[in-house]
Amino acid sequence: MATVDATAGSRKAASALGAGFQRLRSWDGFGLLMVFVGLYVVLSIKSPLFMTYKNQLSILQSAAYFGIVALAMTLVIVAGEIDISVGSMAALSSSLLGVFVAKHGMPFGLAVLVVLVAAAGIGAFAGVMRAYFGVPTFIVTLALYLGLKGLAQLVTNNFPQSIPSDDFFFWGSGRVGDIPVPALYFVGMLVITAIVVKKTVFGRSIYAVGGNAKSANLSGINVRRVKIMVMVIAAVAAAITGLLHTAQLASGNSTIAVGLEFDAIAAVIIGGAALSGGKGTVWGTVIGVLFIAALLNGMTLLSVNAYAQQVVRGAVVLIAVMVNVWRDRGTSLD
Amino acid sequence: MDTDIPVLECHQLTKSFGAVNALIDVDFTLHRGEVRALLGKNGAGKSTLVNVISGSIQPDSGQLKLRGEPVHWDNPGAARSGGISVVHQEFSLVPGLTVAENITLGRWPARGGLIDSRKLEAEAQRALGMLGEHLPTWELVGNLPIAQRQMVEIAKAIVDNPDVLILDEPTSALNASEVDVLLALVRRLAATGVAVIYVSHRMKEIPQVADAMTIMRDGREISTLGIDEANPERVAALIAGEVAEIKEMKHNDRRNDPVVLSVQNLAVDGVLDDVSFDLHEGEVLGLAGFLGSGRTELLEAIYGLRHDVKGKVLVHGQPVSRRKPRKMLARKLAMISEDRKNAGIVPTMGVGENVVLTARGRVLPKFWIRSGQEATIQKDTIAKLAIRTSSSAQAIGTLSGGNQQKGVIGRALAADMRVLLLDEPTRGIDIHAKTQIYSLIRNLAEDGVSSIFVSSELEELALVCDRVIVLRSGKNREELIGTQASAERILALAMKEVD
Repeated sequence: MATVDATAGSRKAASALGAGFQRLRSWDGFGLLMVFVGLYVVLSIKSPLFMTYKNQLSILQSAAYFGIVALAMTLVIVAGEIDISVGSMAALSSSLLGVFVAKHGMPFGLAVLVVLVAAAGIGAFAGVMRAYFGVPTFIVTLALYLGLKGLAQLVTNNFPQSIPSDDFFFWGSGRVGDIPVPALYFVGMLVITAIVVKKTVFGRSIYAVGGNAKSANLSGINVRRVKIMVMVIAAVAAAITGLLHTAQLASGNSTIAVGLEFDAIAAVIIGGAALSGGKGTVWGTVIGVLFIAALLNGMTLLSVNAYAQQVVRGAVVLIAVMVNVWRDRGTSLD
Repeated sequence: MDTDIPVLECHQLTKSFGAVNALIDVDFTLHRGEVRALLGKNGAGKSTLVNVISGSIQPDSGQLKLRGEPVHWDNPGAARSGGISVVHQEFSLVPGLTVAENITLGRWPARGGLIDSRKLEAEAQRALGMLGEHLPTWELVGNLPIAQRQMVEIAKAIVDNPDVLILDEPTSALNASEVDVLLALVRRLAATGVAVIYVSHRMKEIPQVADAMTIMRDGREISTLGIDEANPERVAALIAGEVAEIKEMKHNDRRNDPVVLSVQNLAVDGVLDDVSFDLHEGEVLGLAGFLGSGRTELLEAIYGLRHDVKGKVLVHGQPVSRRKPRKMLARKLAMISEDRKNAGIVPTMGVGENVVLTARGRVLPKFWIRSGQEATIQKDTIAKLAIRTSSSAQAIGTLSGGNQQKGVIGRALAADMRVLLLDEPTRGIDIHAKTQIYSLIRNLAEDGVSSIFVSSELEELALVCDRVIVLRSGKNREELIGTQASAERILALAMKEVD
């Protein structure tokens, strides 16, 4: 009897596991997950260093820097918008912090707060340009990409503003146990974004606005507010990344975060979001972020030429979009 | 050329879309130089017939002959090179190109890979010459008034000398004097031997332009009459046909009940001209009128989607200025657009989420999603409206038109709206779903929900509405109460040309 029960129990467990696996398989991101696992297997075989504990932590750390922005970018892209100014925003926030602290002797806490508020203001400006003046966010943020970078260089005269503080270094680049602090921010951002997307009216409204802004407006959703809010979130996330870089370098610097917009947007796209809006998931983006971080790390371990790495990054994004388009064709909505 | 052979013959054309029979055994014959008017209500099969002849749709069965030869079009391009040209109701011009470039669009003459602008100019002039029109060929089309764009549209259609020219509601955007110019132009074209199919609602212009008329109803060709045999009463009766076999619905005279929505002297330049009416609690008020009579614009003006509106709108006696959808929804008034695909559903979202979009922040909490509460509302609404879906998570874009429409109406109901502005709520959905929507509107009225029901289908207005207002060229002209509002009566008033 006991053996029968045990068998039945294990069968039950197995079927629960099977059901769980079925659910996983039917998930949109299943294919991506398989490709990600495949990448890990290949890199582990090719390089003995890849699968080490230390290297995995290092992947997590580099993922965190653009992962925070990628999560915010997911909201922007689901809303049917884009933000290509995040790299410059990060550079400006780093420069401002450096100038405030090094030149004006402002207390750290206050300086960080001012930088974040300024970033929110710039994000709101981009959102207002989009929502009230109808300027596409691609154009607004293209202008900001140049403008914010220029501003960062102006305020710092393009010199690093040295910030000597161990405390600050810890908050941006230290470790808790073995875990790098930026990774904790990334996980925190992940939890917040996931809750916003699943559990708040605002989060669901982003999908409605991106899916059909006209319907959303007729249904009484404040489309303008949603668009402004996602731009604010992206700008603040970029500023946070800028502050993390600042801590790591112990200086405010106008030359950091070059190409941040590329990695962030690429992660969202690889995660299955559509640039036309209304479609994309937080978990897809997380896998996209880890995929890019692991790929870059692996290529470096395998001593792939740095220029060739760029070619691979470009190709990966192109392939990801092709796969998305091809997959959607079968179930195209009419 | 042998003039006895008809230029176009259709034999037993049949086409169905799912359960809807759009064309049933249609025969249609057209001779050189003939102008044939094609009449029928919305959904009578006119557009499907036009689309089959012009290659946009392939028939399920039946045959098409051009100059006696059987033909088969795989696409509109094939029909066009075969000699069949269409001027659609929607403009197909590129505003940033010149008149000459638009007329020759897609057929630009080239020499050595470069555009031969002299030949292009000559081609355009020739087409305009056939119309007997003088237009500045170098002008950008975007700078032309609507009437002249229509001329360019027609010139574009005749530039490669088609045998058959199809004009779909060519006068719907034109004023009276522009209409006269257009009708004369169509006669001139016919005199050169082109056969013209002229689709129109406007009874007055048909005797001026057509030699004969074909009337369609429910996918069938009902009658083809010479223009002398066609008196307006007979034509109206043929168009309307028997009223669909739907059981009579109970109507109420609500004119003594409280006014929930009052529209006073509403006007929009060039579209609406001084519209006033009251909507009472629990009343279903029909708005009749043909395309271009200002029906949609009226609802948009009430709901705050237009910013060029004069006049007043009162909800429960309170004037609402600077209207916008959120403000109207706060007063429990919702609009359901005629454009289900672009302004109704959010296709990528599930049925359930579509249903609660308006409820969120109104009957549901403002900030947090309450999953349990939402699931209950979703389930109840889906059940109440009998929406056929595998689950509430199924993307609404994958459902049938009728079920999508129910989802959009359900969105207003889930948010407990008391006044509904329904713009063509039964457009493009099957008869079963239609009857369900009629019953739904009547049941809501019994519960005190008021509706404005806009429709081109006069029978459904007669069936569902307690009162019908006829809108003609932007003004509310007549009011029909209860049984006065028969389909024939509404049609006669909507088609009336002189006031």
